[in-house]
Amino acid sequence: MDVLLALVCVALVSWVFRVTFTGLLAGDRLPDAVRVRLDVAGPAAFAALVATDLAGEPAPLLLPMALALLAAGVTARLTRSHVAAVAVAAGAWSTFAIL
Amino acid sequence: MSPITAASRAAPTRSPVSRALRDIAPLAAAVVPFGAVVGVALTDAGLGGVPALAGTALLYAGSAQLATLSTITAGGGLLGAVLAGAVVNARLLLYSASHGERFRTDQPRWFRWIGPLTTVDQTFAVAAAAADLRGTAFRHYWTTLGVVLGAVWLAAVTVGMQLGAVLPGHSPLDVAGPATLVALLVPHLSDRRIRRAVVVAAAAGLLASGLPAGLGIAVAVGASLVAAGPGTTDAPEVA
Repeated sequence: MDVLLALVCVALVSWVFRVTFTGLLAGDRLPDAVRVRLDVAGPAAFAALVATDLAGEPAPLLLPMALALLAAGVTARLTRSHVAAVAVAAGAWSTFAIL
Repeated sequence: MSPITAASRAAPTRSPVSRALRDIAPLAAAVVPFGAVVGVALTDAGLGGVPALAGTALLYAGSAQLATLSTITAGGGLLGAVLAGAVVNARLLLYSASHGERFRTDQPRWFRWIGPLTTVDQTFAVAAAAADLRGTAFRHYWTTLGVVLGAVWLAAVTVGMQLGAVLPGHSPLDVAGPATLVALLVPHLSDRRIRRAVVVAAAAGLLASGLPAGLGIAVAVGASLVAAGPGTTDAPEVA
């Protein structure tokens, strides 16, 4: 029951985050210092999520995970395909984890 | 230019719904393994069936769900789990600020409050690349993105819940979530200012990863916004 309650609570908080500047507040109330930096918010958040996820890996799987993500990046750059990037990363992870 | 951007700009006369279907399809396929990971985590946390899917649909955010579930499973308690999930999802505030104008201008009131429910990394990135869409066209585009990605997400989570008992503790699926984010990130790296922000976010994320309840993510994003400095980029996120 705690699990479902936790998910519902996080969903409610997330909904507030999601509608803060679409329904609750007007965008022009944002401080200028934040507004002029919003264009980098997406890539910065993606990088932060990846970095913290990588840092949380158990030691024996840290290198396979790092190499797999590198392979994903190279694949995404070369093929521009998300599916290919994920598939190559999974293959690389398997290979390096076994080695 | 990312494939998403290229596709969106290549056919401006295409209907918003068909544009959305074409733009979200590759990303929807790529989130399937990550959805399976979340399904496995739900099983590990002791939640299954309709309640698990209802919670997943309500939250609609894989990273935050994983943070919440892993905190619960590790004995972090209800409050700790909620805090962890909320902090991981704090970036949604920035997404809301970044594309808020398209939800407010020429939109019905319900869309301002219900439409953003499907704001996640993938829908945000895809919609940012379709910056020419406004008003009704944007509403149809966004709704299609959210419905398609949500349907695929729930199906993938369901599969993961079935696989939970047979998968080992660590599997190649573990790399699916971060690999999807890397694929979203790569098209933006041609811009020097974004590269600087990304490097700072990654470094700060690694250094601050030991902070409790996912605070490392908030610290990393904050540091990167400061490092980026004011300005504009030629990346598709300028709405």
